[in-house]
Amino acid sequence: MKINRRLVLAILLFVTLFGTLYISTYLYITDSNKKEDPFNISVIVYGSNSDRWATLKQGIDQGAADFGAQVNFVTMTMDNNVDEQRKLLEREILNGADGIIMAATDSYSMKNAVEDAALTLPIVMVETNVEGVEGIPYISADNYSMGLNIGRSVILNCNQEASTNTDIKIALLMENQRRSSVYERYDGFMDSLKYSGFNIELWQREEDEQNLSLFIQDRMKESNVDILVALDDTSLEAVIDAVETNDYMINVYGIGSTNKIIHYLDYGVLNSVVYQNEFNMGYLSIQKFFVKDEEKSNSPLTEIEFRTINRDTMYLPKNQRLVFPIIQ
Amino acid sequence: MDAKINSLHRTLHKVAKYFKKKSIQFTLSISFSFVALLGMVFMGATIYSRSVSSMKEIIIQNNEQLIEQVNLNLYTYLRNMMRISNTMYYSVIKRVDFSKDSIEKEMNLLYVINRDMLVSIALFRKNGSLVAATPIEHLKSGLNVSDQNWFIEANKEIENLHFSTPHVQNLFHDSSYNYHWVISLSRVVELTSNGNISRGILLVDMNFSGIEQLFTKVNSSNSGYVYLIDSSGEIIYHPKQSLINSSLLKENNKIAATYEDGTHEEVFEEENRMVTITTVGYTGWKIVSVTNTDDFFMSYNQTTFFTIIIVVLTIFLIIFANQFVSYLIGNPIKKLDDSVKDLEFGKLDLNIYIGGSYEIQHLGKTIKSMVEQMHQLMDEIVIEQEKKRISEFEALQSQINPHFLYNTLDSIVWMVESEQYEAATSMVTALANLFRISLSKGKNIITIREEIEHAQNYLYIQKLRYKNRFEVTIDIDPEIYDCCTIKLIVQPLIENAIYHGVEFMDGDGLIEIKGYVKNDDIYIEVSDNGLGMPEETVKYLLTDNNRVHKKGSGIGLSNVHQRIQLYFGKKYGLEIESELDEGTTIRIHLPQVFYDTRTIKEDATYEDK
Repeated sequence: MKINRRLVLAILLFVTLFGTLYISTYLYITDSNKKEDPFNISVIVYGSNSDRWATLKQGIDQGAADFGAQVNFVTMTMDNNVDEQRKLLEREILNGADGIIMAATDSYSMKNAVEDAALTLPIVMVETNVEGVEGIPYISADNYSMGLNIGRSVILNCNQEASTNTDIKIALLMENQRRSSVYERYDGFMDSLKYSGFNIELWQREEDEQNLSLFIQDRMKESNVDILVALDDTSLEAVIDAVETNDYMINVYGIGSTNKIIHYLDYGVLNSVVYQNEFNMGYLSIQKFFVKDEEKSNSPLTEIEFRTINRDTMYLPKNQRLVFPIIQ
Repeated sequence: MDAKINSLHRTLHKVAKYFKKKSIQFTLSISFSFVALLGMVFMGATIYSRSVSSMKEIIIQNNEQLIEQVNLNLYTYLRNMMRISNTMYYSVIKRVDFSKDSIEKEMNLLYVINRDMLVSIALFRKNGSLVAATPIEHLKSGLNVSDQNWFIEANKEIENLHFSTPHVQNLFHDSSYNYHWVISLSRVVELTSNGNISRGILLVDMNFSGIEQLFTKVNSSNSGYVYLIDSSGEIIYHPKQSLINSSLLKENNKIAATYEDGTHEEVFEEENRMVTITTVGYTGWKIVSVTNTDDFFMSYNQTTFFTIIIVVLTIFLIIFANQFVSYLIGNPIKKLDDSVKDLEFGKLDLNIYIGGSYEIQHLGKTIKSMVEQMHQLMDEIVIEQEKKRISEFEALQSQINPHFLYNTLDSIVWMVESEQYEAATSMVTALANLFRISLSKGKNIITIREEIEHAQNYLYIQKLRYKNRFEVTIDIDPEIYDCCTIKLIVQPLIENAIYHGVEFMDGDGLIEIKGYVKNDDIYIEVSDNGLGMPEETVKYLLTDNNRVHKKGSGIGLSNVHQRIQLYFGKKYGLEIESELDEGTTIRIHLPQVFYDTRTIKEDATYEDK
């Protein structure tokens, strides 16, 4: 009787052990197969024109699909409003974002907001960084070199056409100069033309002044410039709008990658465009959250590729794949 | 060969020898577990290897089926394109004289019917100028069509239809910012104008999304993916084309173009992959299906891991069950064995184990009944022996030598005849007392007082008979009077002293009887000053049972010695000291035990036995 009880106890113990092991193994395996809760990423970009970010969004969507992230893409109601962007950032954090991808609308004024947010959750800056904040990953093309390249295209083109550089008048549209991407491009552009002898005019709007296209048209009427340069998408699009209805021939150079810009490059309205691979920018920004840098590089900057294209080169196979993304 | 068999034989022998030394339970559990383990491992390994190979076959089969399906769909798609081109050429262009008629109506109709697949249909002259196009008729300004790839390729091989790789259509004016990724089907056609035949190029631009759709469907499943390359390895479609275009992802397309149709295994970017390739008709394009075997086997490994866990657990379970079964079988045998071992060591109050299977129960029962029988027999023997001994002993006790009785009675007769009535009366009384104590109601244990009394009676008779030829002194420590002794031990000693010691002493004979306690033991000495005995006599005096004096009471010294030892242990008995011409002392050594109910009881118990 005593032995029997001990035996029953032993069997019971063994069965329990066996069962527990079996179940835990089963659970372990099914658990490891199960997908984790999606990682919520909010993308906060500047500007109210979502077309501006279409290519970036494609990259982000592809990345989100590959890494299993949930993306909330947020655009602003105004082109450039620090308060709005700051509030959007706070709202997205409150709404339970696990990570933020951000293009700062103002590299100086957004500094504190970004710095604070970076304490609570991972942030990846794209295209436009905030000034003076260290350790936040930043994905962008080399803006200075982009500026340099657009300047070189100007020089190259002018050397073919004009006899002396001093005859040539260049207008540079001074928009969004509080964005790091833009003022870096500005530095590059100005450096490239330092010894060219071109006559450079800086066109700057007063705050709350009229519509940018109208402003450009007005300035064009005032001074007959040969070349107009815009350093970001929105101002380049405004230049397109202004120039399209213009009577006389003006060479437009710029940096940008929207469909509109490409279209007008194709139709000869724009002379040369420096084009950055925003698909990569988007994809890599998502990747940042999931793939740890294998090499501990000191610089948080990830550089993406840019190209200078014109009407002749845009359909080359290597360019057309970037310029005309296949929407999948 | 023989040596091998020999060594195997030896090993087996060793194993058998090893197990012979082990318990049944151990042997059972080890051999069961070993066999179970071997079986499970063998089974597991077989299943594993079989399923791995069949898994591979399944992957290959699935891939080939998938790719055939895609190929069929793609083929149909391309055939449709070619049909459009053929219809356009043979039914429209060939029948029209371009100097008079226009083909726009027919072209437009064809376009509308196949609108989903097409982006545009266009006919160009040899120099690149547009003849007709649908749906948009205006070319972009400053466009040099003849520089475009499809135009050049079509002109290279006049007879053939030429499929281009996907590219962005760069032909027509479009005020929206749309652009179209197309695959161009271009061919050289003959244009008739006023009877003159000139060369033209017919271009059918297919919507690339049509191909994309074909592939998106098959790429929606998780295992692997399918992509499309042209004969030079340029990617036409890839599920992650954007990533490849942006050089975020690499594909082994250039190498894949060199593979023959069928399934190949390759290592790309440190990944093991299975690549199935089939070539598409008309175009020389290749459909490539890629399965990452690492990924596949990773999920497969989980199953394997799970299976191994199950197998290991099952092995444990089997081992446990084996332990249990071997315990059930082996333990009763072990217990029975233990019982038998106890039996071997002579344990008396033995309880033979009965349990386990019915064979072992039967065995136990049989052994038990045998043991019981044996015990019974042994007890019976002991009792019989004892009875025999007692009867012998009793017989001895009752053997009052007839000589003694005759002599005594003769002395009494003589006394009566010589009118010594008083002496005769005392003698008869003494004789009666002698017999009374001698019988002692059948008791064996009496007090020393009684024993001494008995001796005195005897001495009285002998003194009368021997006419006071010897003197007797009795000195007994009163302390020992109430101690136990067995009866009839002093009298034989006195008899011995009389016959061997003082019989021939003529009045000088002296018999001393002393009783005292020394070291908690009782000693009763009977000494005489007679002739003494030689050493040889002393030696056999205590061992030779037959040396009973003819004229004496019939109880020998050896009998006394044996009885004392029988009752009180080997430690006790008689000691004899004798010296020729000096005398003999015989000492009785007894334990000091007071005569009380316990001893009587013990005695009674003994008698009961």
